[in-house]
Amino acid sequence: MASFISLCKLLLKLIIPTATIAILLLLIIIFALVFSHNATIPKFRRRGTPVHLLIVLGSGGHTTEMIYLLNKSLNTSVYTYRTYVVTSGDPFSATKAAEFEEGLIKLQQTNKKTDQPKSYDVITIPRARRVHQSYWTAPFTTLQALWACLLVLCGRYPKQKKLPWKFTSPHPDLIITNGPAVSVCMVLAAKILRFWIFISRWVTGQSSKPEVCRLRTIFVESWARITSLSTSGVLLLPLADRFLVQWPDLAGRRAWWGMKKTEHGGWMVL
Amino acid sequence: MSGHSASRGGSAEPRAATPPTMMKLCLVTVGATAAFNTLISEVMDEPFFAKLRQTGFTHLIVQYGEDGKDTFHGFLEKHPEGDPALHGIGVGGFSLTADMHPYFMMAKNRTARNQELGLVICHSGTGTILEAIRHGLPMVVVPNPNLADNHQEDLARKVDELKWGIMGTIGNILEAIDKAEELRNEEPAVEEESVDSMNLAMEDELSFVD
Repeated sequence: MASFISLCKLLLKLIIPTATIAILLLLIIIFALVFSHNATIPKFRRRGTPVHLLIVLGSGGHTTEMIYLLNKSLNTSVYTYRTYVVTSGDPFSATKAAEFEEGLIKLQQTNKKTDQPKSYDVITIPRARRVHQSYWTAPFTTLQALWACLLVLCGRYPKQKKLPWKFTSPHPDLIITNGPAVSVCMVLAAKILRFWIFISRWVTGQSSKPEVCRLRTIFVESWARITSLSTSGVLLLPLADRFLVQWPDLAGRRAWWGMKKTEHGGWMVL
Repeated sequence: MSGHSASRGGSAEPRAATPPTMMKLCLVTVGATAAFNTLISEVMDEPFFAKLRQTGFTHLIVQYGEDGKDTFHGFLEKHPEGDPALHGIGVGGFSLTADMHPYFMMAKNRTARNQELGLVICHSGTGTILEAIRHGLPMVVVPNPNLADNHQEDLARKVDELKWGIMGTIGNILEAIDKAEELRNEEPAVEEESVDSMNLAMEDELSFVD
């Protein structure tokens, strides 16, 4: 009996500090997210410098929408290098990306522009959660996917091509996503990396040195979402730097007070 | 959206004026993601073919997905070419393809190719609906009732509201075809050419020195 009471006391002693640490961590995370959403981006990037764009191709309809969107909006003279991230078990997306890039090359040739070498890469990473996968194992595969995303963003994923020499940083400048779970992993990975870069610059006393900002994220909600956000959309509300929606009903939503709101961009896929 | 705003003109002329060799295609597609066998069984049935005949269609192409194979081929085995149950409609089908584009082109209104404006009957998938809008094809959108997430129904209702097509349900597709036939003479609501908000957002995030 006495041993039981002392065990309870020990537990109580452990619970209070862990709870305090957990709440502190949560506050730091919330503060960092609010800070990140409200920070102004310093203007250090000169026009004409190479830009590395990372595109996440979800699967099925997400990929179709993304390709339509790229068809409409991608300006290859600005976004000079593209990395496409597809998930395993989705052969269509990689083909679609390659087709799209082939089309760009043809277009450049007909416009008599200088024949550029293939300036893109397609990377296949493991899926966060397969269809019908058990929810018990899902956290582990999600962590695996997050790790893969971190490696991709650092240019260190196996078989990832080396960037052309003009690029001074291994990190992509801009990440655009519209897809399911994998896009959440990618945006989260970008946030983690940026937090890491921010802290290490602060620690080494370089925080006032001008530096081009990289790893910015844009999430485009699916065109099929008219009155409600998708699950990945809800998760990305506090994480993505820009949140574009295609129907007016979804504009003006935000994760919590003080955070950025979703913006109505009209139909971006047509 | 300039290049592909629907051009549905030309089909308003009386049917008798069109030569009998004109092709009018009905394209049925269920997509790749989820099985939608109820739609396939509704389509592969004698009354549906009768309706196609009545509304002037000459051909039917069915993308039946992984699970619709038996239904599709079962019906065709029972009713081989020339069978009265087919009402003279030419039938083709396949399971899946990465590129549906050529089939949408076959349903377009192209006089040079002897094609009359056809119809798309589809599940409420984003890709298919976008493609049909791009090609200016009228459609009957049938949301899959087996899918838990009802945002497909939202989308189908929107398509109906904007007169891009008709929202159909399993069991009333024949009526939906009639309604879609009336729709083809109407100009669908086209969203005005907007600024390229995606490109603007992307440039914003890069934050160039101006």
